[in-house]
Order: sequence, then structure tokens, then C-alpha cells
Amino acid sequence: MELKINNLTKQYGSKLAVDRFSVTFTEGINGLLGANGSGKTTLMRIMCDILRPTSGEVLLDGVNITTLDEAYRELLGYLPQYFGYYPDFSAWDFMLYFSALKGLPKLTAENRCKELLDTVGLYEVRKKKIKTYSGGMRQRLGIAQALINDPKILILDEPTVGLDPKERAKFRNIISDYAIGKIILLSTHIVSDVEYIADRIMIMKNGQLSQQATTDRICDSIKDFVWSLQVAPKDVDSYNSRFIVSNLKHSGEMVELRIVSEERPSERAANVSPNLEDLYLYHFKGEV
Amino acid sequence: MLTMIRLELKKMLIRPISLMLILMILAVNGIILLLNNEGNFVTLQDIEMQRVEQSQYAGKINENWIGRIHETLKMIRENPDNLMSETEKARVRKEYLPRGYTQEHVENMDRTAFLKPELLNSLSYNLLLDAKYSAEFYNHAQQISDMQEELYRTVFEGKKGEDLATKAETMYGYLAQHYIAHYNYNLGWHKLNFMQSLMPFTVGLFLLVTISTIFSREYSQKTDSLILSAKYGKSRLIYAKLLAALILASGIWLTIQVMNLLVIGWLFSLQGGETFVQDWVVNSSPFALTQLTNYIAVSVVSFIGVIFFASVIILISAKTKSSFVSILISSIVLLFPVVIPLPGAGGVAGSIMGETMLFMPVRILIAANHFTFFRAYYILGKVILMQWVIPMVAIAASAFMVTIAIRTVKRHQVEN
Repeated sequence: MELKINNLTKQYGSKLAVDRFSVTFTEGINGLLGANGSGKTTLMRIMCDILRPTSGEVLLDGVNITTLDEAYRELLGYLPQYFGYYPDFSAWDFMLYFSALKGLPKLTAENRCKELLDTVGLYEVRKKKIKTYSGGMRQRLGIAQALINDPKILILDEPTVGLDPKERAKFRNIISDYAIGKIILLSTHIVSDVEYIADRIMIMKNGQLSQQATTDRICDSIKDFVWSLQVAPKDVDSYNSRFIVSNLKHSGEMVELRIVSEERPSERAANVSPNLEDLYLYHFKGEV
Repeated sequence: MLTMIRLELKKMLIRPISLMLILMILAVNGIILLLNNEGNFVTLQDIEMQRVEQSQYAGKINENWIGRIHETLKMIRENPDNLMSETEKARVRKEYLPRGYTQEHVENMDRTAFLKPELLNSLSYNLLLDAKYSAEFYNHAQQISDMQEELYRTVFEGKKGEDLATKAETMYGYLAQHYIAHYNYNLGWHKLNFMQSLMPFTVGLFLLVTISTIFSREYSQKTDSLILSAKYGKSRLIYAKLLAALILASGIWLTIQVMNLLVIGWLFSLQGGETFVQDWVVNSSPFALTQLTNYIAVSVVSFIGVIFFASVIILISAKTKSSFVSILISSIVLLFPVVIPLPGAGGVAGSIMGETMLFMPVRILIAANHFTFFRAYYILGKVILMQWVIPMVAIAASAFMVTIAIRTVKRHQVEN
């Protein structure tokens, strides 16, 4: 299975939200990193067939998804960044509703609802109205509805927003277990969400694909640009204003800085291995 | 599909405002059912008295019946016990003179001017007068026939005028010359007819609040991205929503109709279904309909009206992105013909406005008034009665609006 984005553009007035974006997704977890407003959500909406592109196309195994229509959406699971809910519905009704929408037979739907609500820890409160749920519970319900039809293509837009660290870890485990044989696209600006579980990472900037690689190679492009340096506390501001400081740690009388910079910030600076957060900061330095 | 319809109905009905509205509507409708024309609560005793009194004149309005009514009336009027004393008569005569009547007129006034007030105000006498008025049924029909015939021949020249006049003449002529009208107690049927005028404030209001949210709420609460990305989100779900809306519209309409029938049947009784509907003042129906057949005809058109009403709301809901705006626009568009008093306009403007009003969904929902006068359109050389044209237009417009709504939702883009 191959999902190909072919020269996709979406323009709102004079603003290009997605700009000639081309990429091919294969099975596995694909992390999409980008700052707010970089075009991730627009790209995902187009991929979910709920927004028409200005130009370009999305092809599943060579066939345009708009041609496939229901056959494409049957394979799809989607969790939008901001999604609504029906406040007077219980979680059970909500799940049954989406089961029906996704074409699940009644018995299968009930079993699947039970299984997924149990997985996301909402089975015990399934009869309660959604309006009584916390933000985290609603987000977990959203994740459950995205998985209800056992989708072959799962598109998750900022799925961990509102989740506490424990819930985020659990979410990562669910997705990792689920990923086998499926295309998963996970968009986020929280680096750690994708760092642990993504097979491939794409960086989207100003509507364009800025960089893509497998997770273990994605940082290669900045391998010479990350530095560690100990400075006196009085010098911190100076470094902060001149460089991207990805981390700052007090160590005795000194302060240890982690700097992302193409040029060596100081003679005393030592080159260190980059991580995904460094890469993110490198790409979005002006937007952080 | 059934699960989708069930949950769509639940979505619309489970909201606190919907539940409150149902209770309010049933309560208001119930209270109005118990009120008489003066706004007082009716009593079973009063109704039974009227029923017994009026039932004694029940029968076909023919020469025998008319003769019997006139004879009874004559007997009452000639009964000396029902007449005033000479002193009272003199007082009445005296009161007439300052009002401009001549001495000669006052001297020659017949007995009816000197009937005792207690008789004049009595239920039995008034019902007898009602029967006497009903005895004029055929004469009234003939008068209207002549008037309509003359009107159409004057207003429209040529074949159009001739055809319209002939149609009116034929219909009223049938009532005047061939139809056999029945007289009986029929208060329940009048009450049923009156209750139709409340439809916009019961059924209409309920539909405005519930159906207005059917699509607009998905947009405003951002569930559109979830549903439209689902397999059946752009196909079966839309039909499920439409079916749910139509079930809801039919359901509330039927609930109110059944409630009215049951309460009125219990309180007023449904006796007199065979009686005529015309009063020749506000109801000059050209149709040979009885109260029962008229109620059926009104109900059929009213049902088409409720579907038309719901279709307008569905279209507005599909086109607007906020539930509040959807309710607001729907309310203005649909209820203005019965809520906002329209400035009286004469001439062509007034004529167009009057004609347009007939086609308004809320008027079709009421439907009762559509059967109270003769109106026909001359289409492609044929005379077609308004009572046929309006349901046809309503059905076609409903289908058109629902189609546009489906198209709008299918093409909806999730942008913000």
C-alpha cells in the first residue's frame, strides 16, 4: 500500500497553506513535524478528503482518492486537531455512531467499541455524557473513534494535545502496536511524540516539505551544528540572543548550554550528537 | 442506517432545550384545546347542552328540514310567553325613535323586535337561528356562484376569464343545485379546524429548534471533519439525517394531530362529521366537503406543509455554519407570514403578496384557510385549482431544496 502526495497545493487567497508538497507514505509511522501554521492540518484535511486542494492530487496505489471516494474513506481513520463531540451523547453512543458511519455491522461495532474504550480507559465511564468528561478523556475518546474501523491509513493531527505524560506514553504504545502493516501519519509540534515511535520523519515548513528521512538519519543534516558549552551565568543572555539555545542547565558555578548553530559558538564549544529537538529548533528558529 | 437514524434523532431530541420545548408545546396545545372562543375553560356540561340542543335539528337540509326550522322558529316567535309585556314593548318603541327610525316603521315592527331578552340570549334560540341561517345554504352558494362568475368574466377577458368563470360557476352551482348539505352539532370539528392555526407555534417552533441544528451544528461544533472523513459521511449519513428530520417532522405533526383528535373527541365529540363546512362569511369553500372530508383534505395538505417547512430548515441548516444563525434565519424566513403583520398593499403589489402568502410553508402547514375560497390558475390553457397547485409546488420545492442541501453537505469543505 502506498499513499502518494503529488505536487499538492492549497491556496487561501494570497496565502499558500500547502505549497507543491510531494511525498510518498509507505507502511509504518510517519511523523510530520512543523510549527503552528506550517500547513500540517491543511495537508491532513486534504489527505482525509474533507478539503479540496487548489492543485495536485493524493493517490492511493495510483488511484486518486476522490475517485476512490467511499472505498478510500473505508480505509481511513482520522483524529483532527480540534474535533467536536456531541455533549449529550455518552461515549458508548458516540462510538456506536462512528461505527455506523464507518460501516461496521452492529455486533462487530459493539465488540470493537468495548475493546477500544477499554484500551483508552473509558469503558467504565462509557455511559456518562461526554460533556462530563475532562479534556484528556475526550481526546482519548477521539483516538478510540479514529481506530474503530481498524483503519489501514491512520491520520492523527496533534493527537496528544490535552494528554498527561502517562496518557501520552500509553498513546504512543497503542500506536506502535497498531502500526504494523498500516500507514500512520502523526502530525505534531511535540517532538517527543514522534521521536520514540516514528519510522520516518518529515519536516514541514511554510507549506513545503523541508526535510524527510528515517528517524535514525533525520538528524544527520545537523550533525555538525549542535554544540555543548559551559559559560558563566553572566554570559548566558549574550549566547541566547545570538544562538538557538536548545537547553540550559546549571552546573555548579557554570551554566551548560546546548546550542544549535552552523558556526561554532565558541572555541570552547564541543560538537555533540544532535537530537530531534535540535533539528526542530534548527528548522523553526524564527517561529519558536 | 437504522443506527445512524436512531442516533441522529437522539442528537436532536436529547438536548435539554428540545425536551423542554416538547413539554411546553404539549402543555400550551393542551390548554388551548380546553379553551372556548372567549378564552374561558370549557365545561363538559355546557358542551353537552349545546350538543343535545343542536342535535335535535340534525338532518339533511332539504325542503322538509327548512320548513321544519321555519315552523319551529315561527312558533317560538308567536308564542305570547316569549313576547314582552305591552309596557316593555312601548319602551322598546320609544327607544327606537331617537335612533332615527320613523314613527311608521316603529309602529309596524314585527314580533322579533319584541322577543324577551332571555329568549334572545338563550342557547336554544341561537342554535335555532344558526339552523335558520344554514337553511340558506343553497341560496348562499348560488349567490357566490353568480358573484364569482361575474368577477372572473370582468377581471379576465377572453377564454381565460370564461374558463375560470365556468369553473367557479360549476363548483358553486353544484353546491347550490345538486349537493345535499347536512346540519348537525359539529363544534368538535370547528375546534379541530381552529387548532390548525396553532401549528406554526407548536409543530413549527419545535422543528425550528430541533432541525435547524441538523447540519449547522456539525459545522459549528467541529464534528464535520470527523463525519465527512468517515466512509458513509458523505452519503448514507446525509440521507440518515434527512430521514431523521422527516421522521421528527412527521412525528411531532402526528403527535399534535392525534392529541387534538383525542382531546377534542373526548371533550367536544366528533359528532357532525357529515355537516357542511361553509359559513359563507369567512369560509366560502367551493368544495362539496363535509367536516370529516375537509379535515382529511386539510390534514393531507398540512402534512405536505410540514415536510415543506422542514425542507426549508434543512436547506438553511446545510448552508449556515452556526446553529444560532440557522435557527434565526429559519425563524425569520418561515414564521414571518404569521408573526410579522404585513403592511396592507393594494393593487398589483398586494395581489402578488397575497398570492405569495398562499405558497408560504407556514401557511401550507396551517392549510385550513386554503379550503375556504375559490382560487384557480390558468396554466397552459387549463384551469387548475389552487388547492392542487400548492401541494404540487410544495412537493417540488421540497425535493429541490433537499437536493441542494445534500449537494451542499457533500461539497462542504472543512476549512477552519
